Amino acid sequence: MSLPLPERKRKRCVLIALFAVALSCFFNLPADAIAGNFPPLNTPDFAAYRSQFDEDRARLERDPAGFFADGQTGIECGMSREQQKEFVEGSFIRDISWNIPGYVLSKQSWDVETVLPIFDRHEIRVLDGSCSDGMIEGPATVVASFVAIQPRGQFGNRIFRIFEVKLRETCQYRGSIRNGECRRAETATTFLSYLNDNGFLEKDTGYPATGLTIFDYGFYEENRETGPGTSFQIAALPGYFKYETLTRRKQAGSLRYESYLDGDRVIWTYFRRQSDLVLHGPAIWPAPNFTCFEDGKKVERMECPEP
Amino acid sequence: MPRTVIIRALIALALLWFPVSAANAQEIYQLSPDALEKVRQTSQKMAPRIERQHTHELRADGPETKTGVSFIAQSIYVGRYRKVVSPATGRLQQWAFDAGLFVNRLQDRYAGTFYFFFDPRSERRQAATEVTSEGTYILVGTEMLRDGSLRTGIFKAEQSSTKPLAWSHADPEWLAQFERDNKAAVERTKAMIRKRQAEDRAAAASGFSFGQLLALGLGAGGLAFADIPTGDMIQIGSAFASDVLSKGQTTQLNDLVASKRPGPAATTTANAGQTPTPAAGGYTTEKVRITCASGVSNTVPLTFKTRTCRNAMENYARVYACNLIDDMQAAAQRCKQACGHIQCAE
Repeated sequence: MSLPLPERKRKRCVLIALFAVALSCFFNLPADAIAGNFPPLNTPDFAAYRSQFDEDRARLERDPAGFFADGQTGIECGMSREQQKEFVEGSFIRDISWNIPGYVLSKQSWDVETVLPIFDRHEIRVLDGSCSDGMIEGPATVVASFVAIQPRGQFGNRIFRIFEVKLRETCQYRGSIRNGECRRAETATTFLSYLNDNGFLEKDTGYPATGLTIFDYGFYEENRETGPGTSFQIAALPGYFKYETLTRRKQAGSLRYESYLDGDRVIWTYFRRQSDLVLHGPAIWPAPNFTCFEDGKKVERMECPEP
Repeated sequence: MPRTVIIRALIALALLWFPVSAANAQEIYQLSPDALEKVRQTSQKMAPRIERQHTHELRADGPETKTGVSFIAQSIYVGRYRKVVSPATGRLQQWAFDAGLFVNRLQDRYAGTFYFFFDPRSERRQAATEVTSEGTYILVGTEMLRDGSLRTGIFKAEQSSTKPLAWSHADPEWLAQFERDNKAAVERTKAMIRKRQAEDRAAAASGFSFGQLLALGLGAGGLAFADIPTGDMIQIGSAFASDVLSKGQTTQLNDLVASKRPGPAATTTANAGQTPTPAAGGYTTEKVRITCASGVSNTVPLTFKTRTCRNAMENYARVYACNLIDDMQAAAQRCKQACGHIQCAE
């Protein structure tokens, strides 16, 4: 049983609590976000990403329409519908939880076939930079909106998850392909839908929509992450928020990933081959527990050395 | 006609029309013709087709069990099946749900351990006509409705050839009546449950009612992994482990059932790894953080006398919180060795 606090102390606590609530309302943030649910990442290789994230997140939450440049037309780029579609197909940042080995194992154990999403309603605007033959070339800032329709194979052929996505990124491009440092942000509202007997997608209004906000920073080659970087994710789920962070850095021909959940704990440490981003090496969750991967498949090993 | 009369008539018409149209409204998600065609093609390509009723995609685990997916009307079951034989005639056989996840058309989910009972009144008729077996399913596990609300307990559903499975809560009165009506089948199920459980545990449970015996299975092997948020699973598993390890002094499972799902972050981080606190009677309390392979974690309070028992408790909590079905027996044995009791009671 807790002892009663002295009156003055209690008043101070109440004032602090009220201030926190007021602050969260002012910035439209969940109250627990004030406490900080992301790791500090104050090592030299990641500190810059954390600073960029804080800056971009504040900007997005302060003015979402301004962040995504709603109403701005951008420069004339001459991208055809097909070129826009190709750009969107290489742009979708999925829930970062999908990349952790636990999810990969789950997919393997249930023999769930990975079916690529279907994209629609894509719109792309190049805010600054340059284009050539409908391709983005060099440094540019791009905003995009699109819908991704993800089949849910394990529950039959009629269930689809819909992601309504907005994207803003500043990258180095070669032929509209990311090649160089990128600073990316994505918001998505997601919900389930059902292909009805008449062949139309019917929104499942009974199941609550959820929200995802992802910020990703790092080095890309040919649209793939091949260098150091960090992703930050806020998932707005029914009744609570989930905060995840995934760092990556090079290690002997591989990328070493470390995942965090709600703060500063490392949950998973795992490795992907830099050439094809396939899981290869130990997935530690945490030490001494590990699962060993070779060429993307789980293998039984007594020892599983890091690359 | 005065304008006010026209306006009132329009309002009345609108009021009459709106509820009907709203009730019938189906929110069609608008896509371009190309994208919609791709969605339809993808749907057709993805086998098995859900509209093929009573389609089963199973692989055999052994002579009595199979694992896979079943499409029943517009519902889906993912998990393990067990072959059951009708007791009275021995002529009816069915692959019945055993441990898994059932998702109905509306996306309500039911996960846990399922027990199937043939309907004794119609078994002989069914055996003669070979129609779909009629009977009752009892589920020990969790109900997660599409609004996200979660309930742990015992549920029932009637199986028939004419209507889909509809799950509802099985209260103690219903269970008692069911036991009276299906005495022989219930006795067989009790025996099967005891056989599955550890020897000591079964012995301790021998005097329990059917409902109590089922309830012992709560949290144990009851949670199927497919598409249940891992955060929910560890909360259920942790709550179960806490209740068991506190010898019933906590009611975390009930609290979890009664409350909305708590945010996983705020409640646990502050207490993780805290210094053990001496408690009355030579006991020490400590909160330990359990982290599962999925990456999610939760905190479980432990009260113990010896370090050996504490370590066994932590192992027990991890096994149940992470739903490591294959390790449950070993965890109970370790409890018995370290603490002198299969549930780590000192």
